[in-house]
Amino acid sequence: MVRVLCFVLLCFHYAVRTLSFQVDVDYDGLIKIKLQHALDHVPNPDFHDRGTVFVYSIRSGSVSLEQPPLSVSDREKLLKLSEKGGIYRLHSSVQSADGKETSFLTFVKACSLVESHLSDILSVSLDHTGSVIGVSMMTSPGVCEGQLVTKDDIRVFNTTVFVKHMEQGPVPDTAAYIQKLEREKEARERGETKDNRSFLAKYWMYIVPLVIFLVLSGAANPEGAAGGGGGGGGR
Amino acid sequence: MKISEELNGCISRMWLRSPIVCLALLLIHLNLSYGLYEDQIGKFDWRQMYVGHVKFAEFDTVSSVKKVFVSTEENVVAALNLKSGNIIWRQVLEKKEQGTIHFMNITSEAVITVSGTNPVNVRGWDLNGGFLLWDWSFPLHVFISSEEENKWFLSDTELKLYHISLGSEIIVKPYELTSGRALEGSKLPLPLASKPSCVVAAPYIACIESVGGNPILHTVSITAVNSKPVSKPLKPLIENTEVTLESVHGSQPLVSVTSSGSKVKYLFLIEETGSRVLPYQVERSAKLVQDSLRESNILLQLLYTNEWFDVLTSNLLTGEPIPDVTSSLKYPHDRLGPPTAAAAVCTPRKDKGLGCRVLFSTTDHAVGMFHYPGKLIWVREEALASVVAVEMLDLPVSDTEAAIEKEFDHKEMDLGVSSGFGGMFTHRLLSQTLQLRLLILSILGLGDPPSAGQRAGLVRDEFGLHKMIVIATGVGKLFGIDNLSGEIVWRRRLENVASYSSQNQMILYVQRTTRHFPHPAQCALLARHKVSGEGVIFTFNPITGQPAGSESVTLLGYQIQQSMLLAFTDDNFLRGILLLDQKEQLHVLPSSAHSVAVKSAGSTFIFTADKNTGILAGYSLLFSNSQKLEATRVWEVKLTQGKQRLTAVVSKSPVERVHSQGRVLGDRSVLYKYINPNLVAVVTQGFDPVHKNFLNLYLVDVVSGSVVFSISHKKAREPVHIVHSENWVLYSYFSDKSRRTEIVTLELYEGKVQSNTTAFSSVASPIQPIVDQQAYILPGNIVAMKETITEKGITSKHILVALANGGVLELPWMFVDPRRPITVTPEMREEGVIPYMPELPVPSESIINYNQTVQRVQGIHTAPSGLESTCLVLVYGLDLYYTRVAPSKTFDVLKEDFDHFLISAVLLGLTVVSYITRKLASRKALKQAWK
Repeated sequence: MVRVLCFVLLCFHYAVRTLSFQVDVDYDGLIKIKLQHALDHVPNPDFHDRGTVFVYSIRSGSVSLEQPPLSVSDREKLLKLSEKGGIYRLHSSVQSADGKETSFLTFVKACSLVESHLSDILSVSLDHTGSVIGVSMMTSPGVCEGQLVTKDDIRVFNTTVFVKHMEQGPVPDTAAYIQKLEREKEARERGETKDNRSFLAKYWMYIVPLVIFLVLSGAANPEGAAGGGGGGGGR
Repeated sequence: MKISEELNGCISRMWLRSPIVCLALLLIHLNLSYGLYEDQIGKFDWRQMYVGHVKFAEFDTVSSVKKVFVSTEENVVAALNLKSGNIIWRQVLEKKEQGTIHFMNITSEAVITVSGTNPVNVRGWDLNGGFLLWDWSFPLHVFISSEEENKWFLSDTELKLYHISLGSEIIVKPYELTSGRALEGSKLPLPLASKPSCVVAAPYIACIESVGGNPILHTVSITAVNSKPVSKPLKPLIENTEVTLESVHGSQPLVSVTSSGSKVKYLFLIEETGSRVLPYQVERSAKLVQDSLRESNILLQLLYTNEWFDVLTSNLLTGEPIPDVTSSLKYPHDRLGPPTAAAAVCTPRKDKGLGCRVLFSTTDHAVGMFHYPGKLIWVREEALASVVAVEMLDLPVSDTEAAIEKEFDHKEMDLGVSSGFGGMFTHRLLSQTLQLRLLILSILGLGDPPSAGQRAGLVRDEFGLHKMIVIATGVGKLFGIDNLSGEIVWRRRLENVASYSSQNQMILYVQRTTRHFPHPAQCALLARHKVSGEGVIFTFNPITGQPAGSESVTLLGYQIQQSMLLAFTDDNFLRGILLLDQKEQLHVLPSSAHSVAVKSAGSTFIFTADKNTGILAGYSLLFSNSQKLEATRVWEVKLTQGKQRLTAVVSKSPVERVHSQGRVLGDRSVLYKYINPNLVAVVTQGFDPVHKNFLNLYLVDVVSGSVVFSISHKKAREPVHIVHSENWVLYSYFSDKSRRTEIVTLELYEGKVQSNTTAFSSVASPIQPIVDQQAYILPGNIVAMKETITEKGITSKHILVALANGGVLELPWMFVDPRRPITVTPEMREEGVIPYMPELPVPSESIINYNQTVQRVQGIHTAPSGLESTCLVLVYGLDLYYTRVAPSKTFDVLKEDFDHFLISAVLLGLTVVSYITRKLASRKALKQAWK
């Protein structure tokens, strides 16, 4: 899953692109996401249409996007928003196959959107039944470095849509553990666990203390003798 | 640290042998490191047992050791010592409505309780030991809908328990007390028109109803065969139709009637032929208890008026006062709420006259005992059985250290010399002169008296192990408890304060710690007003319990939706509290912190989670200005659909520090941890036909609003407990499929490179973490979980798991590490992870409270101490249990049995010997030179 995302992050060259990968889920369906954005630096702005995302199959993640280029005035607004350090808010209303509509809100820093030349990633998070629980937006790259961007750089959205499925929770793996125990038991019975290490590698923990003991006890006697001799010499 | 070395050693040495042997050895190693020596019992820990708010009380008049039996709202039956108030025995019944006690009475052999709903259990408890003597339940159709509609009557002589259900008609059903055998029941022929109010005045039942504006008292015997009801109009005495009927506990069938607006109560003695009004009246607010003494019946009137608690004794039939007991006692109204008498008993004293004991319970859930004539004997603070918020704070510095602090604090104002080398030197000389003067004065006994904290020994110790535990309880009473002794240092009662009902919590913020001398520490309690539901705040000094602002709670005038502590302090080192009300308006308390809030507004985010709709919303303070703080909604996700519920939102501890940024793998590369302080774990639960009981866990970044990770479990249900710390989440649930408690751990990693080495930003570069996950089985039922926390986060983390059997298990994180592999590869071995075993061990050596069982644990609070190795733990619930744990063993403290004497003797000896030998050597050299 993560690898897939990295792949997504790396290739964002096409304005409209579909992503496809198989996921092991028992649901499928079509969803339509209507995107609206706000380009004004006010607490409660008006949202204007940005485009539409169709997810043809949430299982395969095949997506098509319809996003008209930004008008000149919108581009000016966006640049101004970015200068002011404002935020770009995106309102998305998701219509599922059964006609149910839910709406979500997400935001990015306007400067990061401008500096990424409108390359954004939309993550559509699903719950275990395949209903959408959130649409969040990020830009790629996601940092503001203060580089100069002209109006022509931010004409069309370069959007990647990524459908995030819920993972299936792990269960205690008793079967594999029991198998492992049985395998080991069998192996022991067949005597296959023959230790093929060398004698030293096998019994070093017994040999080392023995050697140390021998060395120490051996060294103690001559030292005593040598000490006595030394004393005699001194006189 | 040491454990991991042992593990490493174990694994590398024995890797070809069976992992079981390895694990067994490992466990032996671990066991050695955990257990407690016998002489250490009670040295670092204490336990306090509580019973809860008293519901019924009965004095023991039968057995030789006199005691008082209580049963409580917490579903506890207990016997308390008359002299000390200590618990003689205690039995904890089932939780919630399964164990609600409806009735308690005593016979000559047992305490009888009727408890629970569907089935209703009748239990007999041994008077002296509290053992269960018998236990039977009513047939399932006996269903307790409300306590008004069901009455109980125990006939001690016949050993029968009567169940009286008051519906449209009154049905009496007797049962054999010990066996539960149902006997012939009957319908009582009461001529009732409207819904009456009835009481049991043994062996009669009395009902009052108003017919045509006139109150009528009906009485009928419960036990007699073919009993006939007798009705008595109360017309000349009481004309008001709104009347209250109460029975007076005691040997005689006596009821009291009072009407609304009247100041007195009328007493009626019930007889076979009807009821007889007694020739005197009593005060309306008095609690009445009958008692028999020297063959005559007496009536005790217990009255609380204006800080005085009175007892008036009179002859029951005539109303003549018995003078030698009629007395009043001063009631400690400053620390206890208004009392109501629960039970009373009088006994003839040795000298002469009467001695009466009165057990009372208060509105703030305390229970106490008065002795008349005499004094208040004991008080138990039963509010501590319902702890809702805990904080542990450092104590203030001692007087001498405070003087030094003062020296450095007032640099600007002292004597014209402000800064620079010379200035500092002068300053130092001056302050040392002052210290010398102080020393001389204190030797002569002329100095300032020591501060109150100093006198009480409440000063910081060198290891920071001595702390003040600040506890907020469900009834709105605050306590300050000394963590070493467990004694209550201060208590403060707040009026009309309730906890947030959804999670039964209040919020306790530490606005300023004790570090900022001379500013005292300050805490704030956020709660709900009992009547209006508005938010209330109370600020106080956590060391003394004195209010910092107003004397009582401050009404905020709005309902609190979310609150948070500001990240930055103001000039007085005080951190403001940011509050979001129901109308999405922002407020900051105190208002002086407004400028601080505005300064950091661009990077301040606040989020809310709605339990009912499942909507999580994030707000930015971007549009705030110096006039007004404004919260603008910037993100919104909706986690639940249909009948799902949002059951838990768990964030990380704000005081947590992560020492190690990554994990060293077998190939010596580093796997960097995904440490996002804004990550919150959200759990939703629901039921659908395909997945049965499902449980979803979402990890949501509450600044950017993105769902970082989500995981779903089928056939999993509550109890769900979550621990969220560092880069991992651990949660437990009950698996419906396997019928056992399972623990799942998730560990989040950024990968082999770290995206931003200085600080994490949720907005700048959102990375998708790599998630490791693993599931384990815990053989036990979990009631609460918490991770240990230490000052710098160097010590390894353990998880404290409170089990339903009353033990608190200390589970090393290593055991639940999601990287434990099934098949051991050399790399994994190098990394130091132990092989996977599905079942987690529960060795009795890792039960940190050894045999000190803690009942019905609500939560565990952990706090760092001044020692990096040591974490302070308070387990709360019905009982309080305090201890300290050292997850990586006490690597920074000398062992208790460290022989200081021996080592100093050896050192001294060596010094002396070296000195002597040097002398001898030089003398020898001199001699040789002369040869």
